[in-house]
Amino acid sequence: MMRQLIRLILTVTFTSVVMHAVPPLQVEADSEAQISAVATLRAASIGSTVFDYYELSVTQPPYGSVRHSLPTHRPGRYCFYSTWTLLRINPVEHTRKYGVVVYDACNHDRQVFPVPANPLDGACQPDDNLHPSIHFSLCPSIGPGHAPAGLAPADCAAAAVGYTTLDASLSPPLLDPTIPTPLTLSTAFAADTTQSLAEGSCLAALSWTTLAWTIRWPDGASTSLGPSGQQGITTTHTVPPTSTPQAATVVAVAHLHLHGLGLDFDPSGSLVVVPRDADVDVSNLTTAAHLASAPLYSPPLLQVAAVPVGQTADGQLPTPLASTSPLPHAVTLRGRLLALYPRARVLRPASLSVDGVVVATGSTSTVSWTYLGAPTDAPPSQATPSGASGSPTQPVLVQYNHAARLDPSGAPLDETVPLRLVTTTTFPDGHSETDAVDGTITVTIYYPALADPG
Amino acid sequence: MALLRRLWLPLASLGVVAALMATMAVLAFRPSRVHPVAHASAPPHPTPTPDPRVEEVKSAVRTFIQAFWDSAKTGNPDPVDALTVPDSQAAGNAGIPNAFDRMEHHNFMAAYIEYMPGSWMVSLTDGKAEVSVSYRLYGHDAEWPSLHPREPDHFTGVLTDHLEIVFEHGRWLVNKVNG
Repeated sequence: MMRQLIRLILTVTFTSVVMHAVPPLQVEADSEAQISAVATLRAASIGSTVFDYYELSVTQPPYGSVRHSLPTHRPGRYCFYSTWTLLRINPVEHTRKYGVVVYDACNHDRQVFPVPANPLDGACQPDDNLHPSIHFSLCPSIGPGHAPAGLAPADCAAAAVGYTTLDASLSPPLLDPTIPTPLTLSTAFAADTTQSLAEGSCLAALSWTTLAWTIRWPDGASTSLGPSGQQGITTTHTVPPTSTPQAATVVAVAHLHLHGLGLDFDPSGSLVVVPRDADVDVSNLTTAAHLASAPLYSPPLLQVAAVPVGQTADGQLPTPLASTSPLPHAVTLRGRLLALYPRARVLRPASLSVDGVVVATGSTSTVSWTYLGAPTDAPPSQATPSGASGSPTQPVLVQYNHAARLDPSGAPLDETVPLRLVTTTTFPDGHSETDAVDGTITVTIYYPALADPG
Repeated sequence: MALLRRLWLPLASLGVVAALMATMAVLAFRPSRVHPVAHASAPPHPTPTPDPRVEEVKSAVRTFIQAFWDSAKTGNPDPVDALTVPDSQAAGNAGIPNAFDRMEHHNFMAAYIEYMPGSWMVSLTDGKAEVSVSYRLYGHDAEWPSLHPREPDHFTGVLTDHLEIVFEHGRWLVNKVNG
């Protein structure tokens, strides 16, 4: 026993001496010294809308971490990008769960599985039938008033629009089997419509307006109505007698145009504010609500025309009356100045169609003209030279000092004033388009002592 | 002489301690005078046969780590991908050095890898292993892709990786790295 105790003391003493004589091999525990990728959900606000996006922190020893935002489209400068897919919506709480796939564009677009800073955002398998084969890198949930950054309205949470309910009340509730039933429909937008639209389209500072309505009645008939701003509508329709008593149902679809601000990523991965537009259909029936195809803007059918004003005997050129309609033909006197104020004549107005139905027309105005013809006999100080341009308030000045030319049969020929007109068409939803139309104004030359062949 | 006068006490103390220790050692380790008593000696403990898969796993991990740091030089993650389970977390993370090259335009060029003794921890189950190992790199920071050195060679701090390895198609492949 005693000998063992002495052995122990000697061993401890020897060990202590050795340890103090030779420095130990230090294995430092460095919490940063580990190759890893961590994703943290960040937020940026525009007005009352908060845009969520991921920041990827890549740790590459011995340098520590480098952090970059994770854009939602292939980057120009950084390797990593992501896609967001809507998985689930809670329409009552306005929460949405997204599946995010992170890719490395510098490694054949291989999927990356970063560690989420919030464990609740961990990788997930979808639990529905929509995306059975995808294993997402991250699965964040975002709350009311939030939207993912970098998503166009069509990629945002279009299904959320379906939960933008439209209140529709139909009176009477039953269809009469014996006599026609006059139905009255009244619609109204739900109180949270703007919030639902913003969350569903990923737009902030949202303004919206109703372009048109489509009402589908129980007998299969359809009614189209025009714009109504942010208000509902009231309309009626008489349904023929049904074979049996049945509940009256109607599908009311409001075609909305949205305009707001989105948050996107530029090629360097920085967040930028971008104006965006979207078109959505909302309905009293959730299956009828969706992100709509864009409305169709049809251009007007135009003709080059002008308001003509001839020089008076005392050499004056009067100002044209505002009510004078433009015409494609003018008459002038030989040797007299003719002022032509170019205007586009609308033969068929521009139209705005939604789902194949024309719901509004556009308003067209002339912006400028260009004279494409040769010099005429107008005095050089007043003549409109070839290639000259002007506004609609400035006339094209021409003059013909000769008699009318004759064709081979001896019939007088009109002079021509070729012009190019630039027009702007504006639609009720604020959309505008610019058009150009080429044409000619024909001018008949009259002169004193012209014999009337008739 | 003055030095000797100053140091005589510490030197004398050290001598006394050494003599005491020597005496104690002789007393403790001299053969015993007690009559030998026949006593049964404890049976030898059987030495466990090392699992050959442990060395296979370690070899696979070393190969992966070497390829990982080689890709920082080459900017090519394909050799690292070939050592991972397809579409796994490890396959995604295998591109980190390559991404770092292209985003930051420099990286660490490892000349060799020194594994810390005693740092290997291997836990094996059927067809799967959890491995933890610490190591440090010897090399230098260099611009990429030119590979111009930005500093002299040196050791880094200790790095620790936790890997999940699986045995598939006749070889060990990395499924997860620091996930």
